[in-house]
Amino acid sequence: MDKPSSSANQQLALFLDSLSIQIAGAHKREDLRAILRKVSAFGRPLRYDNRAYWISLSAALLTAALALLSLYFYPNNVAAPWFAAAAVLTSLVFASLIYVRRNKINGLSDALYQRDVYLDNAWQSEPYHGKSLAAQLGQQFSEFRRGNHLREISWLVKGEYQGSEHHFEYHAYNFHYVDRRQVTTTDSKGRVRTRTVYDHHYRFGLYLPFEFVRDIAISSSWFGGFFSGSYKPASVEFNRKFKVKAQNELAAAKFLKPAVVVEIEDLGKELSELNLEFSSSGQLCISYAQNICSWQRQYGLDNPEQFLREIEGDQTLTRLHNTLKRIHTLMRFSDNNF
Amino acid sequence: MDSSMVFLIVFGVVILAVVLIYNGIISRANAAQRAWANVITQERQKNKIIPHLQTVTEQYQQFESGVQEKITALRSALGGLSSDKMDTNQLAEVETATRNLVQGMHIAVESYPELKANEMFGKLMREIAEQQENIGAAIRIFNQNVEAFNNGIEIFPNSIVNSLLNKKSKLNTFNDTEAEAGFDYKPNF
Repeated sequence: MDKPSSSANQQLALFLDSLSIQIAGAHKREDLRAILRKVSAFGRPLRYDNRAYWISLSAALLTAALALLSLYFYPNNVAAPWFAAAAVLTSLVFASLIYVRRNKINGLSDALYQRDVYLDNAWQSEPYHGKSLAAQLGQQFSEFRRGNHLREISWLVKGEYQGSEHHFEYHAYNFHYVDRRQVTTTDSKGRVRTRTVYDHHYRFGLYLPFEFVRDIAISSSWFGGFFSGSYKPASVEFNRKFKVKAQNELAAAKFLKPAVVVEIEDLGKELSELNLEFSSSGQLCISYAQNICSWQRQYGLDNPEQFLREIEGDQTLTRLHNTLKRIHTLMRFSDNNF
Repeated sequence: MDSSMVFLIVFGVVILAVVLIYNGIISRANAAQRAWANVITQERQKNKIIPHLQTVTEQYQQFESGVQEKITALRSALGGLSSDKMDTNQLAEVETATRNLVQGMHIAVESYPELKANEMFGKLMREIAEQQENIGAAIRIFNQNVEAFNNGIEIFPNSIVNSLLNKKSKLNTFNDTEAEAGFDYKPNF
């Protein structure tokens, strides 16, 4: 490893460490802009000089190949296996070092873009324990009773929505659950074997206070529930897609006004496997099969000018915003105007 | 399996299919009927707010004179609606009367700024707007159910079952002729 390259890499590593601290502390879009301006002013692309690592990796691979060849032609050579093992190990170490260096810059680009998404969607991170939170939510919503092996919240943010009549806070989450099952197979000789299979599933959703309606579950992918009563509104299309379970059928009839029915029909076209659960404690959980809170960046810190332009843009998640708007409409039709 | 057994199985399947189609037509007709009743129920919700509207308008003499007539027209049109008879023309009349009333109220608000500030009036306007959205949604559900019913009696082999057993006629969807008048385009159904 030559001296100038080593010093440049050290300088870059220090710079990346300082960026990492600044990204973690960024609370305004101006903070993100300042970070990107700093990257532009760094004077050279944010890229490690990995030539020394590549040379070392190539040498180690060559040594491993020679040792294996030697083993092939001289099987009694005692030293060859040791040389081969050491060379393979060295190759792995250098390959990992190159991977870690590359990943570090990508990771920082991801972190910076994520900060921007959080700012644009007015999200806040909240501390949580995935399994405990899933268990806690399972007390209110049957959505979180899926899976017989593992249930956990794998991602959570807190946000807020301001509509024309109502303001509400919400939590957006990713729910990971695992089903464990036994599979029995018989081979050609008639021997029976049983093995355990773990099926991993992901569901996504929002939960929020919804004071106007209680004890109703509207589901397009039914999996059980807390309520025994059922109700069918007048819409054939709605009834084809959803089932309504309620503690009190009159409350369901009162809530499912025509405007609410068509709003849920439309929501069901936008979100597959949609379920809405209104708990007895005045909370709504709306869950679905696709992740509407996902994002994808185009540029990164290796291209700071383009990345800055991307960050300047609006990262509001349209499908999430539309869903929140529809929830607001449900509130508008469930409240009392007088 | 002898031929008589095959015949019995085929006959059984045909009978089962006819029963299913017959029942499907009946349930879709009932769904359309229920959706119509729902539209009427939503329209009649307006009767609940008319007294409140009269109370507010009585406070403003000038406002009252213009709007009272429209309230009376709406009340009379609502009286003509029946949940047993699918009279889409009468429904159109109610919708026109409502539109006239809402327009009249908007015009009055412009000349009466203090009316706009009246809390009760604001609530009434919001309630009327929501009622109209509910009626719009109820009409959409009615039209969807009518479409499902019409498909159910027109597609093959349902059309045969309907002509022999159910003998139901195609239903009319609700069309807002006044809103349609704003378009140059006319679909050639």
